[in-house]
Amino acid sequence: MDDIQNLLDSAEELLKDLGIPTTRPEDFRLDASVVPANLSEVVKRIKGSRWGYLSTITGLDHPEPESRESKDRQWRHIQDEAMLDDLETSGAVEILYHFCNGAAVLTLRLLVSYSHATIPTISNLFSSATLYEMELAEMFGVRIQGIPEEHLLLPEDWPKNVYPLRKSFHGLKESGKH
Amino acid sequence: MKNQRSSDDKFIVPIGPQHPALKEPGHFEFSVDGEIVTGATVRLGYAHRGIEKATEERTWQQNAYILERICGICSHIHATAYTIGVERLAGVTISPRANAIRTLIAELERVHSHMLWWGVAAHEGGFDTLFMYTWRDRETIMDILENLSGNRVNYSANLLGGVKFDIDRKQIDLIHKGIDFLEERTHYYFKVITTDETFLGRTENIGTMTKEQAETLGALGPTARASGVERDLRVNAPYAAYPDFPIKMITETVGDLKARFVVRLKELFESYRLIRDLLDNLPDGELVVRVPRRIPEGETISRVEAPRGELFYYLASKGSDKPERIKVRTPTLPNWSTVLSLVVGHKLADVPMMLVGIDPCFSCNDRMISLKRRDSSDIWTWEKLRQYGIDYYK
Repeated sequence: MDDIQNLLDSAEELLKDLGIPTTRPEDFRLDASVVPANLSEVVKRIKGSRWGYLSTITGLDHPEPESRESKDRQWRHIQDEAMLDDLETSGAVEILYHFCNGAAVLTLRLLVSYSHATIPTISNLFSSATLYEMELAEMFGVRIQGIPEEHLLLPEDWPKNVYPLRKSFHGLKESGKH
Repeated sequence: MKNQRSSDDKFIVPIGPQHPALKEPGHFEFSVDGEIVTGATVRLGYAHRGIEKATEERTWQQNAYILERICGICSHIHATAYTIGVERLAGVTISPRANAIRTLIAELERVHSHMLWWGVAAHEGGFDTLFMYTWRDRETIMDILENLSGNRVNYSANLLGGVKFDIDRKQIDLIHKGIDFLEERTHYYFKVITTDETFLGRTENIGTMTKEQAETLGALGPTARASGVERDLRVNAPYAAYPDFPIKMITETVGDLKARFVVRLKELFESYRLIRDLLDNLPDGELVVRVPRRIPEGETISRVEAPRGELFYYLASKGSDKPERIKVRTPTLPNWSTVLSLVVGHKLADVPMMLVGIDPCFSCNDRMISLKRRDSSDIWTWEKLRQYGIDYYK
């Protein structure tokens, strides 16, 4: 258990001066909230210090817009005004980058609204990210700059702008002529 | 995913999705300069079934069954990763006996998975007799699993809160007998992979991956361990009964195909030891404890060591009887990037063995049914597919 705490401490230390809010949701996990602007820098540091490997990238769909006045706000940690404006009118996709080191898991949480869902790739730093990023792009409609814009998993004739892992997707029309 | 070395590629050899060597669908394009591979790309999804989406419309209980069906080889380990995660979210601790049975089935599964791979590898190498031998021997485990659970592949041993069946004296004797036979056979196979000249010709110094490469490419499981990277969750982050029944991590240093073969076969011996240990020291306890129908709000990550490497589950609940999101990352996916990088510079003829060297599993990395008929394509809904299944077996 001490080992895990040391690993999580060292991950926290790594991100300290960047002013990134962190939490420890479980005894083996550290979550850090990043924004598109500092994502590359954070990942570069993780790679530079050889803190673990990229285990996978998870997408989460949050279809409900969120008012700034609402009492139980999810996105309290977001400070970017333009982003908050966006979130009041559109849903968002949360992207989780999971890095594993022994039993410890560091998760970078990145939130983008549907209307501004463009993020940089991290495949220049972790080449294994390409497959995860392609999956994320297809399934959630996140544009990732720097990776091939082609299908990895969905069929070639899959309709444009239909993202199956968004909550609004309930299957293509029966008979499926598209 | 691309890995191009030069722009003056001479020729592109497309392989798959249907190909004579690998029995699963994947499309690869290898650019070659003469016989030498200069670049590789992969296109997946031919067996994608949309299981992650499907889980969001089913209850926590139903999902144990659907997730177990992600893979027909390592089915149990999927259910294990899932149930451990759900039990953590629910705050439920299962009995030592249930944990031990879970672990026992997981190790039996590892043995049949490694034996299956070993047969496929022999087949790709052109040693079909060896393929027949290993698959015959593998039936020993399949019979044991059928005897324990009633099923050869999707044994459904895991329930939320424990396991479905107990193991009695007669079954313990049966497993012991089976393991004794397999251990003897494995000694013979080990001799083949380390001494047989023709086999070594296909594996020695082929597809060598350094420790550095394995770490940066994110290799997992036996593929990583063959390059000396110490990644085995049974040791790094023990779960189920592994804290009480520790396992030794098997690593090699060379990192070529031979090392990957050696690691897997050595792991078999370690699994045999652990299976015996578990059978001789089965703790007492209830088989199953109650898990609420609605799982409390929260999220967790559950990682377990599948036969092919780390299996990663992310689970999120909003307090209902259905999950908010389940993400599955199987070990084959990160291991692809190792192959795509390593094939560059090798002969085209070495490609099949290198593909097989990571023990790829397509049902793992693809998870829609799309039927193509000449000029039109039909997409079947889950309901239509289910009805088709019912009508078919009427």
